[in-house]
This record gives sequence, structure tokens and C-alpha cells, in this order.
Amino acid sequence: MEKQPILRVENLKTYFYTEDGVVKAVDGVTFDLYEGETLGIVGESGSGKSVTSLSIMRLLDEKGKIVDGKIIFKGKNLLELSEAEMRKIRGNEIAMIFQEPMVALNPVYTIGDQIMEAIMLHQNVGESKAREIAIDLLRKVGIPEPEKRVDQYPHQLSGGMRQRAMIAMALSCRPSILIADEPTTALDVTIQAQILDLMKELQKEYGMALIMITHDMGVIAEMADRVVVMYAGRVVEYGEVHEIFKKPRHPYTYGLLSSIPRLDVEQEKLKSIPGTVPDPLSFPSGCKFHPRCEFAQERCKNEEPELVEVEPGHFSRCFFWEKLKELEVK
Amino acid sequence: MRVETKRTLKRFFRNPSAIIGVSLLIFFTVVAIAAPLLAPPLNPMDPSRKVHDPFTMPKVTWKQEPVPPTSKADAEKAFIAKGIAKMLYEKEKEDLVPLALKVVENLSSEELYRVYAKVSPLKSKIKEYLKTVKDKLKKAGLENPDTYINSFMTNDFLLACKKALEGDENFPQVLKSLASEIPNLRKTYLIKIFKEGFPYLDYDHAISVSKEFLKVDGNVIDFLMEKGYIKRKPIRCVDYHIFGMIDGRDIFYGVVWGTRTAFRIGLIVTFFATLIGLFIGSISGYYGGWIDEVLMRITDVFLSIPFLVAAIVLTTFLGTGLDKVMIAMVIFGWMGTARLIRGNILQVKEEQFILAAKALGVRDYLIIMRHVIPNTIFPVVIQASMRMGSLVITAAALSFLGLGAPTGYADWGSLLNYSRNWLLGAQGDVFKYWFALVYPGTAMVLFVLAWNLLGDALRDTFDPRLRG
Repeated sequence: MEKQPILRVENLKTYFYTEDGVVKAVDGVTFDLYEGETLGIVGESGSGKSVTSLSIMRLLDEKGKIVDGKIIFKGKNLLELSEAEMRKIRGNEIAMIFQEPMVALNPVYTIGDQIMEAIMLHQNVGESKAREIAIDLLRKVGIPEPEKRVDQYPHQLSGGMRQRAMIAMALSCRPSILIADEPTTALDVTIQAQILDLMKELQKEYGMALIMITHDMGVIAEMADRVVVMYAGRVVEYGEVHEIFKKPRHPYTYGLLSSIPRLDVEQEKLKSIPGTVPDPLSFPSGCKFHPRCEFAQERCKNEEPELVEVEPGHFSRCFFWEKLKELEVK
Repeated sequence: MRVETKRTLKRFFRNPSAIIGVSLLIFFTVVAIAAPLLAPPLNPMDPSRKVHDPFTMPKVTWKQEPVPPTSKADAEKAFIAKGIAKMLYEKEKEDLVPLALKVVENLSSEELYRVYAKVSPLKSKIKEYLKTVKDKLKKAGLENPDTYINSFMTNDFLLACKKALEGDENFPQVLKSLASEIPNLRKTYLIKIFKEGFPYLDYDHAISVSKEFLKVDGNVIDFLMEKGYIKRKPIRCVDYHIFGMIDGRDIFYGVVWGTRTAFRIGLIVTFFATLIGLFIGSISGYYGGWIDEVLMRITDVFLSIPFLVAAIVLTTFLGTGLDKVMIAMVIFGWMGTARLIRGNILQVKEEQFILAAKALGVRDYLIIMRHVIPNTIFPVVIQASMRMGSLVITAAALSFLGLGAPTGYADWGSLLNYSRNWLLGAQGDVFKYWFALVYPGTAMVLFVLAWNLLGDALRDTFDPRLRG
């Protein structure tokens, strides 16, 4: 059965026109998001995952421009909407939570004020009703004593509490898509697990689609149904989570997976991908990953591979994906 | 929230500079509010009348220009008159004329002024007294008692009295008895007049009295009052004008009503300059791009114009006056705020909660109003409170240049402007006119200090990052 995607990103190109030159932060990204599923977008810092999410929300700063592509949400191309129409979608249809709960809440208002702002903005309710909804939401995201917490300022809350409040804020209008940009990166590991559980739970309850942006393969394994692996503004691998974890078909994904510390195998040193993400102003020719790739060959330096379907629903941007298949057999 | 407010207030009031600053400001506010009670805006020549505009300091004036004595004899008489006045004032002696001849020292303008200061309440009593005389005359059957009153001190009347005393049968009996009192009456009246300062009675009365008893011309009396001096010279007069007088105006009055002027200048200019600065700075900072470029270049242009020159140019076509100066201060006073708020907004704009608000679909102007400004306003509030004080100094500087408040306006700057001619004091007494400078100067210093301390305390309380 072919499901209709709720959000379809097609060949998205977002460039930043800086004084030093054009930064191709996102260069031809395509993926689908289906109702109720969780899509993980994974990659190192600077791979363009956050820019992708900001492009969907059309929240880029003045230097960033979406030069090409389509973002189709419920049949409408978001890139063609007016700013006023887009405002109705933000928060209401697509909501977003951010990496740093410490700074994503306005320090001068109580969390109640901020949640109520979102509610009153999109739902036609009065202040007292909005307050009730806010308290309900806080209870739902697992904040104890929500009647008391609603009148507290962000600095009076712990990081985990703040992230819960952020989630409550994002969920206040029952969006159909929630974009979570590294929602757990700034939190303690124990809190991370709680927040992820909470998000899973709420996703089930609200039936919304979730885009999980992270660099943490552990979070992906925990949360995602399908995964987009990004490197230097491009999708390098895309597929079901089990496929990706069990049969990575791109050396970058392979590298990411092998750099997860393991307890079951004796390791002297943690594995890592050598080198760093290339300077976005001067990407290497050919396959952008080749300087760091252990399988790189002469061809990789001159030619950029296309995204090929290696198995149904599993795509890879590598000439030598079959080699990885062999590696796995070993 | 209540807890937080309480904590903030506690932190604020634990700061000594906050306590000093706030108490000074409370003091100034009370003075400003109670100005009509502390220094009633009454006409000093006639306390029953109110002055037209309380901000124009009431001035002691005379009807005529003084004329110096022309002949040597007149001058001698004037000198004697002065001596008599002094003797009368000091000793209330009955047999005065011979004593007066011995008086050699000058009666200073201060002393004469002291005489004046006491007369105002007594003037009505003398009027009453004259009225009883008039009633008596009426009862005696006189048809035109006013003419008698008017000629009360003239030779004609004295002759009439003499005649009556000599036994003229046609003269009414009551008037006869009244006439017998005349010498005493005249003496009392004379004493009263000198004691209480005759020039402050009706001018005509003064002339007739002086003509009659001192054989001095009325104009000479005026000269003796040193009108010209009183007009300009600072006069120290503790019992009536506790801060003294300058240019014929009460310094205490000026200081009290000047508090209102200071608050008015400070509040109005700060309010409008901050408003304009906030508007331009927040638009420029929030939107950035070419809007920012254009607005900031305009700001630079305004900043590059020297304020005093600009104020002089502006007042040449707006005209002088306090309101014009305030306009000039607003027009050339918003740039600091604009730059400050722009810088803060550039910083806050990058904060994630702004992005989060945008991601919730909040409108731009609501983001500015609700999220940007509350996070950037404190430095502006602090700057505004610091500016409140310095604006008063600027206004004073403009008054000094003759651009500010009109002559006689109740303004600390104008008061200091008057005293600048007397800064060096009198010959041999450098500190003679200290009061002309010290009282308005102290008021201004304390006012500026109060706002600066308040600004410091606000900064320490709300913006610990800025603590030096």
C-alpha cells in the first residue's frame, strides 16, 4: 500500500550568501515524511541538518536563501506561501523544539506566559482558558505541580523541565509535524532517555509525524523509523532504520556506526572517522566524503556519485556500496 | 513572581546608592509637588494678588526710575533721611531729627530691603487706620472726607488744624478733637512708615510724607532705596527670603519652582528621546539589512553634529525658550539610545527564544514588543535615568548661553546665570554673595547625583553583567 507523504522535500537547495562566498549548506536534499512516523536526520555538525529544518519552517536569516526545490506539505508548496500564510502554519501545523532549552525560553516571562502566547495565537481562546490548557499541557509533559510551575520563570526550572516546557509549547496547537532539532543534546543522559520516552509517548497520542535531528546514532536507533544521513549538505544515505544500522551502504554511515562505543567487543581505542567536515566554502571535488573515506578511489575524486536505490527504499550515494556489503559478510 | 519581585526589591534597597538616590528623589518630588505651599506664587508688592505664571519668578519693581539727587543740599537731605530711617528702624526714638544728623554710615540696600520685607502685611493695617480716620471725618459731617485724607499730610490740612485749635467756631467739634491728636498721629504714622518702609506704601503717600517731613524730593527717596541695586545685586535677607535675593527675585522661590522645571525638562526630554531612540534602534536592529544601514547612517549624521551648535541653529528659527530647548534636546538626544538598543537587539536577536517564537508563528511586531524589548530595555532604562540628571545640566548650559529659559524663569540654570556676575563677591569679601551660587548649585548637584545613583543602583540590580 502506497502511503501519501504528509511532507515531501524535493531537491531542496539552501545557500548562504556570505561575504566570503556562497555556502551551499543544503544542496539537493530530498526525503518524504509519512504521517505518524519518525524520521531521523543524522550527521555531523555543519552537515546541513539544522538548515534543512529551518528551511522547512522558512526561518532562515537574511543571508540564507532557498534557491531551488519544493517543500510540499499537505499538497501545498510551503515555499510559495505568503509570510502571513506561513505564520499560520508555523506553530499550528509544524512546530519545532530546539537544542538548548536553556536559551530557547524567554527569560523575562513565566513558562505559562509563553505557552499561553502560543495557544492564544492560534486558537481562539481567552486568557483563563489558555491558562487551563497550558496547565494541562504541562501535566501531560510530566511536569510535577503544573499549577505552581506555570507561574515560574525559566531560570527556576532545570534543563529537563525546560525541555519539557518547550515540548508543551510546541504541542500546544496539536501540530501534525514536530521538528526536534537535537532536543536532547544539552541534557544529562538520564534526562535524555526520559525526554525521548516522553516524545515517543506524545507522538503516539497526538499521531504526529516527528523529524528528529541529531548527531547521536543512539537517539536514532531509539526513536527513528527511517533515517536520512546527511554529509556536507547532501543526503548520503536514506532508508529504514534497521536497514541502515544493519546494512549501511555508505562509508560515512559505516564510520558513524563504528564510532559508537561498544561493550561487547574488546576495543583499545574508540574508532573515529579521520579528518573533519570540509570547509563549506571549498568542498572537495567529486564525492565530498572522499578525503575522509577509507574506501576512496581515483574515481571518487573526480565524479560525484548519484543517490542510487540499493535495495527497495534504501538509497546510497556511493559508487562502491557493494564493497560495504562484502565487508558486512566478513 | 511575587517572590522574585520581593527579592529584586530587597536587592535594590540593600544598595546604599539606591537608598540615597531614591530618598533624594523623593525629597525633590515632594518639593516639586508642594511648590505652591513652600513658595506661594504671590506678587511681592501686594501679597493679596497672585502672579500670572508661577514659573515666572515674581520680581520687586517700582513705578519710576530712580533719580539721583541733583544738588548738594538734596544729597545731604537724602543722607539725613536715610539716617533717620535707620534710626527709626533700629531704636524707635521719638526725638529723631537731631539724632539723625549724627548718623554717618550708609544704610545698605540689604537693610532697606529688610524694611520692605516687613511692610507687606502691615500695609493693610495702615489702610485700615486711614479708613477709621475717614469714618471719623464722615461722622463729623464732612462731605468729602477723601480730600481730607489726601491732604492729611499737607500744609493746608495742618493750617486747618491750627485754625481749629485756635478756636475757629465753624470747624466741626469732632474734627477739632481729631486735629488735636494730629501731631501724635503724624508721629505714629511717620514711625510706622519708616519702620515698615515707606516706599512700599502707595508711591504718592511716600512722596507726600517725604516732602512734608524730610523736605526731600520723592525721586530722591527712590534713589535711596537703591532700586537699581536691588534689581541686580544679590541680597541676603535671612528673616524674609531665607536663600536671599538676586536680580530682585527670591532665590528660594526659584529653587523650589525650579525643581518642577528640572523634573519637567528631564522627564519630557528623556521620554521623547528614549521613545525615538527605541523606535529607530529597534527597527534598525531587528530588521537589519538596508533599513539598518540607512537608519544607522542617519544616526551617525546626527551624532556628528555638535549639540551646542545645533541647538543654537535650531533656536534661531524656532525662537528661544525652554520648550524650544527641549525640542532641540530631543532632536539631538535620541542617538545614544538608538545605538544602545540596536546593539542589544543584535545580541538578543540571535537568541534561540526569538527563533522559537518565530517557529510558533508569532508576528514580527509582537516579537519586538514581547520578546526583544523586554530583554533589551534595562540598559535603556538605566541610561535614561542617568540622562535625567545630565539633561538638567545641558539645559542650564543652554540657559547660560541665552538660549534656554527666558529671563526670570524659575529654573536653576537661570538662577546660576544671574549669579555669574557676582561669583567674585564684593571687593575684599570674596564670599559675600555665596548664597546666590550655592543654593541653586546645590539643588542641581543633588538632583543630578540622585539620578546617577538611581541609575547605578538599577544597573547593579537588574544588569549584573554591567557591574564595574
